Amino acid sequence: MIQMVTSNMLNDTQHPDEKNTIKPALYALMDQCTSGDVAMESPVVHTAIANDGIQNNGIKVVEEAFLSHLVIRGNVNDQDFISAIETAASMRLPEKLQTSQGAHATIYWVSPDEWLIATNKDAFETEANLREKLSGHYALVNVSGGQTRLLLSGSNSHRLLHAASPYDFHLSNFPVGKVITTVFARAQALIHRKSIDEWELIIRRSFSDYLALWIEDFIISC
Amino acid sequence: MFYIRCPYCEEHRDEQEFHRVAEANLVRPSDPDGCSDQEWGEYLYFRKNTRGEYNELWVHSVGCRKFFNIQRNTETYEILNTSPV
Amino acid sequence: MTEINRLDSGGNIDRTQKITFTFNGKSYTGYQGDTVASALLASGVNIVARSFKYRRPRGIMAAGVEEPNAVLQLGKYEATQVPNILATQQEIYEGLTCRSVTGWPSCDVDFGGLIGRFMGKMLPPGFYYKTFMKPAFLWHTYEKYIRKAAGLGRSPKESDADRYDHVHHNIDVLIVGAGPAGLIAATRLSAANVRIMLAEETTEMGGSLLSSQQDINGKDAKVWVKAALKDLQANPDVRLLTRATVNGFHDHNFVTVNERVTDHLAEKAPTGQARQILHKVRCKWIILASGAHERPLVFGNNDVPGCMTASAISTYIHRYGVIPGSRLVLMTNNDNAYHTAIDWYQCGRTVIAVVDTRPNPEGKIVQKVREMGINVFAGKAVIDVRGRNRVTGVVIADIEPSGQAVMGMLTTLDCDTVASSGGWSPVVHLSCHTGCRPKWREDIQAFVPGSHRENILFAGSVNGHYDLANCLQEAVNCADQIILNESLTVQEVLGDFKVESALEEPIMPLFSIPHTKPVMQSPKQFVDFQNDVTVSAIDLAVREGFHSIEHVKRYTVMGFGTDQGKLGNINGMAIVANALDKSIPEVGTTTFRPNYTPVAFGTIVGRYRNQLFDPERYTAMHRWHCDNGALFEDVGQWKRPWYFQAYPGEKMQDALNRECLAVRQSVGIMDASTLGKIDIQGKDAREFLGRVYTNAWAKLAVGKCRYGVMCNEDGMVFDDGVTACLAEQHFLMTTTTGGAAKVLEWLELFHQTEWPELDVYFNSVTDHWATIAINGPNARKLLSELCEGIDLDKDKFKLMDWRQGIVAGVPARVFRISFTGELSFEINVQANYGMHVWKALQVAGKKYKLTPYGTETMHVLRAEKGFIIAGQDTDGSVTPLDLGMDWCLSNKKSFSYIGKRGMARSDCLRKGRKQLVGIQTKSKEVMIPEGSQAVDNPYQPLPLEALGHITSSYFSANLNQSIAMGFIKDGFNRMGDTVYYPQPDGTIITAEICSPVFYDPNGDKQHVE
Ligand SMILES: [Zn+2]
Repeated sequence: MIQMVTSNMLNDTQHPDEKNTIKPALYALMDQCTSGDVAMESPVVHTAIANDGIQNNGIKVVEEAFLSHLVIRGNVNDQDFISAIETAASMRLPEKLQTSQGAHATIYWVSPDEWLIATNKDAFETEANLREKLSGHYALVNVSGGQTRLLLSGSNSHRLLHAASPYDFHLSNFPVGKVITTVFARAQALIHRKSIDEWELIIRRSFSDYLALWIEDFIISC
Repeated sequence: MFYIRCPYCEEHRDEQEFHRVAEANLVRPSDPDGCSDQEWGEYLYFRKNTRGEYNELWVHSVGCRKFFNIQRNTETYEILNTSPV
Repeated sequence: MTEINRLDSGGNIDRTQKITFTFNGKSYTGYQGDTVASALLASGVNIVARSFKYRRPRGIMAAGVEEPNAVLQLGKYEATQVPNILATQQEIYEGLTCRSVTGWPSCDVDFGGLIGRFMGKMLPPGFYYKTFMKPAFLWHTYEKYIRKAAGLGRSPKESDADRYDHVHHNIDVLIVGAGPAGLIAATRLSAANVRIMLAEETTEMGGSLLSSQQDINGKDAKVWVKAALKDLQANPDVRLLTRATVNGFHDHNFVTVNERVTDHLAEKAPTGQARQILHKVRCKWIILASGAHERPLVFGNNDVPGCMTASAISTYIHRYGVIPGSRLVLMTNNDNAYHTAIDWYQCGRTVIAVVDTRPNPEGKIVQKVREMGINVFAGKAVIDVRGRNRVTGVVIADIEPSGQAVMGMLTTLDCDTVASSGGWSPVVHLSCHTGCRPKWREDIQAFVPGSHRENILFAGSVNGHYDLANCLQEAVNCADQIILNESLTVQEVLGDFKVESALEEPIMPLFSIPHTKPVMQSPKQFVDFQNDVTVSAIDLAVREGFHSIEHVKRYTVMGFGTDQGKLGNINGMAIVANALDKSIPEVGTTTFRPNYTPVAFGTIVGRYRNQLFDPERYTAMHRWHCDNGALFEDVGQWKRPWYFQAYPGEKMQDALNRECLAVRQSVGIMDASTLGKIDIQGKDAREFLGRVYTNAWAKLAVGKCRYGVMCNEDGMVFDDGVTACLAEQHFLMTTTTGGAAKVLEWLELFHQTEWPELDVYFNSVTDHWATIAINGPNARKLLSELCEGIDLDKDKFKLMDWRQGIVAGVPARVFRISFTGELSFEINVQANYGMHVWKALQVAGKKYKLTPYGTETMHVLRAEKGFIIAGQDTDGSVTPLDLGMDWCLSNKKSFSYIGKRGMARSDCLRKGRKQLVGIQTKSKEVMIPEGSQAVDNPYQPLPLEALGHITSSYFSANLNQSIAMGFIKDGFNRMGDTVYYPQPDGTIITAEICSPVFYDPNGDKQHVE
């Protein structure tokens, strides 16, 4: 399906010393998931947020586990890069502090040369599809195991945000569709306003036990 | 607690999202090996550390991760300007 | 006890809600809405404290936050103890239990009074410096006694049962103080579609209007307050906070507000509520309408219970229906205080006299008081007070118009209460927190806020506008200035007002009343009541040569108490100025710093307590470690298994020995997920690596790994790790656990600021991969049982190769790299599978006695091999050459890599630098403590010449001996020499310099079949 040679070649039959016989891959694309019967653990599996999430008094937090998360790096002044991404993803690459929403994916602006795509499609296929279209200077990194997405919702959800972060979440400053990376409790999160009372929080795996504890502490006492 | 405008995010953010890196506009000599100990020492160690208006390099570490310049007053803590590197 | 001083009517208290509370073990009653102070005054309690130094009885002097004496220890139970609560702020609730913090063992027993005279001699001004600082070691002994006697309250010994919270706000305008100025500013701005917070320190909004008899718009001011509040409450963009003290004004309009949410309700906060909330407010504008505190005049024995500020008496009458005495003498240097005489008179109690220090007061209000038949003595002053536990009378005399001396006949007046007013001190504190100095206004004899860079405006009495009409007008102007500056549209013009101007005659510049005797012989004239600082103490300080107000403050401890001198500081400054024959602005003020009032630790901490205090970072296998006896080590914010107890109570050294032997004899498993991992992509990735690492990267083939050392520009090692070539333009760099964020930032820094022309991107994948290291002669056998798609043959999968395959059913990248010297594989899988693979290895590893090990065993094993740990064996002053790592430097690279020029400095190349070597103790069982310094001759005269310190020291179970690494001057040339490590206990450890590779020097072990 994919013409690109992957680093799967690096098994015993294709020792790197013999690599001059084939065109070397520029980037190591790897299918990191298995279809086998293997237990996966999401970053919040051992916390109150696992399974059905946690809710109280107009605030609810659930995990949207096992999404594919890919970091896209590239130059916004490179038209080829922009159009390759937009063709492959069938989505606009969002402007500064914005997101774009597709049927199966959201692209988040992270930095002037960085975006995050979160999708319920397979990470390997998504990356391969993007790499097929891309050329020139760019980077794609599968970070699906390194972070997870939480959905914070409810009429009091803003109260949790105001306790966790110094940022101004007022609708006048934080309209639907906006995304920021900011301080969250004593860690950090990427925060996207999905609708008036729905917020996506993307947090790093290693901080997720701490953040889940913090969120639980807030929600049970709110 | 500073309130700093990131020139890349084009928004003011709380100081907690940033940290200071160095004096601004330090330029690595193009030929380090050709530098005398004196010249290399100037680059490595000597800083203006001005009282008053001062240019510093900061990074939006909990944010866009970009480095940028701050022109600020080290006496009054007023930030006069921020600009991309 | 009956409430003998409670008026039959009046006050904003709920007379249907009677409340019983306990003060110093006695039961008292009051009403809903009373403070502890108002209820105690209602019951005729005179003494609420014993003074710090002289043990004198003290009563309530003020009605607000400036109260110096009535300081309480609150709480019925150990866990609910709160020190340093002001009786004037704390509202009563049923069952409230409190006692004075001052006056150990009790403020009623005159025990202190006796020793007080003695203590006063023992504690002259400057006593801290003179007595306790020499010898310094005795301070701890003194401190215990002084703190107990001084009564600073105590913290609870049990953890706080209540919850505290932090809330961030981003708003347009913060208004500090809901007096007339704050209220009208809020009203006017509320029509402008802006986000407003109005914070009021007391229980009720309205400020001075609550005890005022003035009209606004032709109606009682209280009616106007009610209407204004009703409108503000209806506006969703206006946040009203009462019992909320604005405590800190920080840079860039960041303000902290401490709201006491439930302190007035019960011992413990009702379920679901935080006891206090710290509001962290970022605002575009601040309107400071914090008002002013009345300052008392200073006169002889002015601390006898019954001496109060004039305005406090009015407040107790109007807000609580309490009159704190029967016969009043009021001394004043201004018109304003005459209101108190009127209030007292209208309660039906006797005003003995108004003593006005001004020679000829003729103001409207003076006339009014005279017309009421009240004696007004002009050009006179109270110079002394009679009575000990309560005022019984005052001595008055004529005072010169200059205020410098009293003269003529002394007259005694009988009374039980002395009100005094020396004018008003604007509450400028917040305006000074960012470093601005207040400025002196001669006309009102007060400091007002100085000029500011920030968007802060001042309205009302804080700015010296005491007259209601001026006060309201200034607040309206502030609001209009914001509306103009922000180009706001106003839907409706709100806040217009009509008030009759009540202009007053000027105040007389007078702070301290002279006595007929010289200062040192006159009765004690108190300036700072909480610290017992008198006029004579300040005089002494000045005579001893302390002329700066900051020095006088520290010498006399004026303003050091929990009240921070709110009542006394301006008087103190005036007395210093007088003694130095300078003006008050020449002397200046002391520095005002946040916080304005004491803040509970619980509030500062908020919900960031216990596990939430600081993030703990966990790997994907953390839960397994917890369930299998791991003890954890903090590495940055990471929790890493330190060692695993095979059974509860296993000793650390036993566990380490067991783990170390298992790895070298069979196979061990370690969670290495915390290592920093950076994905590097781009056509210039290789070039970039060559610039930041000291060694060469141009020829590293796909499928290979290489160890690299990273230096700072000065040539000193700062991190190290293995980087793998994943594909031609794609690398995976590993860093130390603690260095991950620093290294990524370092790479980005050079990329963005120095070499933006290089096409390369860096991304952290630390959390994405779970990394499992299996080490030991059986590692290959173990891996082969679970691994598909990789030929594990030792010649096909060599040391420093990496391969992709399937491990335990999961796609994996396996790196054959070794930090232990054993045959070793590091298995990397997507972190969601980390636990699965880890558990599968445990199952398959049973037959090899697979042993989990932690960081400590890793440290021992690598030290046996002489491998360094950046950050433990290096400290920012060590070059790769000092570590004997010349093999890791490439001088063939065309680009002058980071650190190259630094390493070439003459100091880095000189002879006699400290070099890292192995250290072997002569007695092999003896371990040298890390940090020990080597000397050639332990008996040389002091100071000993240190050769270098021990960086790593362990017991090696595999070698059955101690091993160590450390720095020795010129160490590489001193192999076999004997050095000595003197210890703090006087013993000396003898050791020999050796190679740092203690185990398997030829490296055969990592190539086992
Ligand atoms: Zn930014």
